[in-house]
Amino acid sequence: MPDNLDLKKPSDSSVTRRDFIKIGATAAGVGAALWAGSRLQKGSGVSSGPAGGAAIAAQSMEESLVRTACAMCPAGCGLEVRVVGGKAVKVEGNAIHPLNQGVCCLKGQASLEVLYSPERIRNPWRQLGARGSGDWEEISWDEAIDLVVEKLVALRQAGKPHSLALVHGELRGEMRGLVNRFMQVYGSPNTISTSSLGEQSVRLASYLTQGVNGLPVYDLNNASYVMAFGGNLLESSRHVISYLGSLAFMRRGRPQRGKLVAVHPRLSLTGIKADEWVPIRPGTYGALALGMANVIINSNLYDQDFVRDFTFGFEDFEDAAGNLHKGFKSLVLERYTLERVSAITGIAGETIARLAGEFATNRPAVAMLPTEPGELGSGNSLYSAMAIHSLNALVGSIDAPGGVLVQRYPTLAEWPEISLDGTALTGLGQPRIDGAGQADIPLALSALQQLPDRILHGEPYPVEVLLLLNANPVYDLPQGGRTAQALLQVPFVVSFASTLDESAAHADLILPASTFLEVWGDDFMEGTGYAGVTLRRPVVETLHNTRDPGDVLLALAKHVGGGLAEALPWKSYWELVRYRLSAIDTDWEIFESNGNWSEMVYFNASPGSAAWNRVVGRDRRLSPKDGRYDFFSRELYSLLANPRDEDCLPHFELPATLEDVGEFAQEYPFLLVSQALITQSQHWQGVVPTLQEAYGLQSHARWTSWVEMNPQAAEALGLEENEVVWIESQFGRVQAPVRFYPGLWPNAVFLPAGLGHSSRVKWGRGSPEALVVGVNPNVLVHMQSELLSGQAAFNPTRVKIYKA
Amino acid sequence: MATAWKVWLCLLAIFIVALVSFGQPNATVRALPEYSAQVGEPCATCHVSPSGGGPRGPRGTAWVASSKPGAVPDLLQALEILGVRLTVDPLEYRAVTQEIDSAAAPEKTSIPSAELLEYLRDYEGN
Ligand code: SF4
Repeated sequence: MPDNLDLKKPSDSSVTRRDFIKIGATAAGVGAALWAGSRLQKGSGVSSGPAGGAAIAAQSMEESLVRTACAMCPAGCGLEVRVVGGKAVKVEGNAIHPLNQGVCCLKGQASLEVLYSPERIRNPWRQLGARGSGDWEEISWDEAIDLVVEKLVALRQAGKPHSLALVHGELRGEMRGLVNRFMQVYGSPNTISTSSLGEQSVRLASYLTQGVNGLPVYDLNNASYVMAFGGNLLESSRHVISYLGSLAFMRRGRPQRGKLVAVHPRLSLTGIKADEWVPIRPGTYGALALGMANVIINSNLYDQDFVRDFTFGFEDFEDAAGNLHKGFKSLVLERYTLERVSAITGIAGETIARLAGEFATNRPAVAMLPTEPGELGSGNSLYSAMAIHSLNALVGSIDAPGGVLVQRYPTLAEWPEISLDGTALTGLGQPRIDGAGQADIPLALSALQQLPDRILHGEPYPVEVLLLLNANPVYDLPQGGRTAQALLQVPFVVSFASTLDESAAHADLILPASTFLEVWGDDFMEGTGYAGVTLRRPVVETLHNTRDPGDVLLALAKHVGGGLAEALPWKSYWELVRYRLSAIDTDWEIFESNGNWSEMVYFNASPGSAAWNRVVGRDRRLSPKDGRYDFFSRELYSLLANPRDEDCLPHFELPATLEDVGEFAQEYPFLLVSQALITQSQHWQGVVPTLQEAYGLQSHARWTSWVEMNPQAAEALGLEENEVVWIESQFGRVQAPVRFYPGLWPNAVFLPAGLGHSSRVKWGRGSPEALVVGVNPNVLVHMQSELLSGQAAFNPTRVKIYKA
Repeated sequence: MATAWKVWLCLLAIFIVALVSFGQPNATVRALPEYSAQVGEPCATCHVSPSGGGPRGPRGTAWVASSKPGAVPDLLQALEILGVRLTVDPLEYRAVTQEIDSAAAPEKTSIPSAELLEYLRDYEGN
């Protein structure tokens, strides 16, 4: 526990600020009363660690600036929050944070509405009536913890620790380590993340080709040509703020201007800001990448030295037994001709050829992968991601300036040794409840979309206790109501939600989480390549009787006792974080004062250097760490039983919904596409009014959903702009007003994500009584699992549209 | 008379607010040519871009962190101000040999899927 965590920024600045105030007061002679007693303490908000009780700056008008880490999206910006009289009043970016350098997006600014939301749950709640009945009683934290501990102890005593499952969304900093450790020592293999709905395939593609088990980051500052395949780079990508800065620099701030190309069926703000938007048939990114590779190889525009010396499987090759295998070059030249790729993607052959030529001759060039939910979820995500990433290898952009970087992390203090007792070993030996790792999805890190059906069928065994942490599966994957049913079938469900989300409504117990503006923690800096950590600290005292889920897990471990208590000996989550960060060689005072620590410098490894094997092949488990990028994945070759060559090479598989041209396709002629917007917060934290006011930045829609249609398609149906229509799939239907939008693939329709939550508060302008704002597009889809990767496959879903 | 006094007061209040908000932190993130003149250095000293604006490098970040003194710290000072001690050896990132390892053909090795997945789930970062 730190003795004194007062933030002290260099004093000059605060003197200047005070001087400003004094000058203003003196010169005017009025308004002094407003500021009387006001004292600006830069950086000092909460003045001691949580164990000492947070002593917040004064009850008077004392003012401070507190540096912390944003959690409204995965970008992890540094924030500077202005606190007056113990109330947070304004959020800005931390000017000395390397990622956002003082910038703060509207979501970060709106985070105070999350903190002060009337929707927040203020005390632990126990469901009294039937699950989902909404009949709650407030209980104390002691009672709540006892209830959970009782269940956890009973499960272990019954020898069934594996029947505990924990579903989690984004976990930052040490939280993932804490959760994994908790579940491992308890004895459950069922730590299930939401990654299969988002970035899972991208991580796997990086592992299977480059040999790095991580999400690629991209050096846009130095790139000359950037091609973003899918996603919404400047609105919702994982590193949105740093990419916004880098792209502005790339295009306006340096002598040689770079070019941004956005490929997507829908023209987003990214497409609007790009130099070129390439509309593409939904679900066909992989084909475009392979078509470009065809042109680049055919024209000998690839980096021949790099490909020869630092890649594997470009040319056909013979294995040790003398069997001949097809290489990437042969596959691409034979199968991905311009004509075929043009027919698949709907992009003119000349355009594909031009893009390929530009990409290969304007180096450094980089092809970017999307990680937002649904973007690659067309049932072909793994091989599409491998195909797109391989463009980077073709032009030698692996760990090159302006290319793909490998995100580094600081070395932290080791977790204490753990010893697993017999109960834990038995539990960990059980198969996972979500089926991840089973024969058809051997590479699935998680397969959340399979969970509802498997719970309902009791496969492979019943789930007795389910913990929901930063996850709302009833909203994310309704699966026709089956997820809610599944929750009702689990005897004991605990949610850590801070507002009453759809899944929490089906829980027995809610252990309400404090918001990120009330807790201590850390956040790994990602997106720059170099190692860094941002500190999270409370900017105000906890408003309600809520707790940090990290503290709650530690309390549960302590009360369950035994090996679990020994494995997690910390009294508070902050103590754990301090222990882990203690290995960073830095001055802690500066670290605290800046609100972050980072190495500031990224060194690109030259091919063949001593460091090269840290950026290519580093994490391979089954194949050689020989510093070669695998066009032909040797990991896959090792892993798969009797693989065909194509199984190990990037290739394209047509999504099932596009293959269908029969009656069904005629009845449901439109393709529902997804694209995350900047106004959509990562996890639902209740309705955020400012974000609702701006939700449809392009459509000008607020406090409602809308469906975008290409005007020609809408007119063919005789629809008028703003007319309310039904959007119906095989799995459900929703209503929304139609917006004509020419920036959309002809038979695609777009419904914004993140809406359609039910709220406990009567928000909304048009309908003050409305407890649901907009509609949830997820009710239209049914998620299947892609073979191998286990990525959720549901895009594009076929829908029909008709007047309401 | 009372009304005029009120109007005057309002204007004054606006003036004060404008004056105070000029000193708000987001003002500090803009690149200003005055800064270049103040420290007698080109924009590129602090910014990645030679023409200023946009992302700052370590020296620019350290200069802001130390409340914009009269001189921009040099790189080593900047890293010290920012509490950075490099954990990597830059020399390791330079290629010193032209010898290239030959490619190893794929082999069938096996590992239980559960073990591989456990390994893959143990990735670094958030
Ligand atoms: S980009 Fe994300 S992390 Fe940064 S301020 Fe906006 S919401 Fe917060």
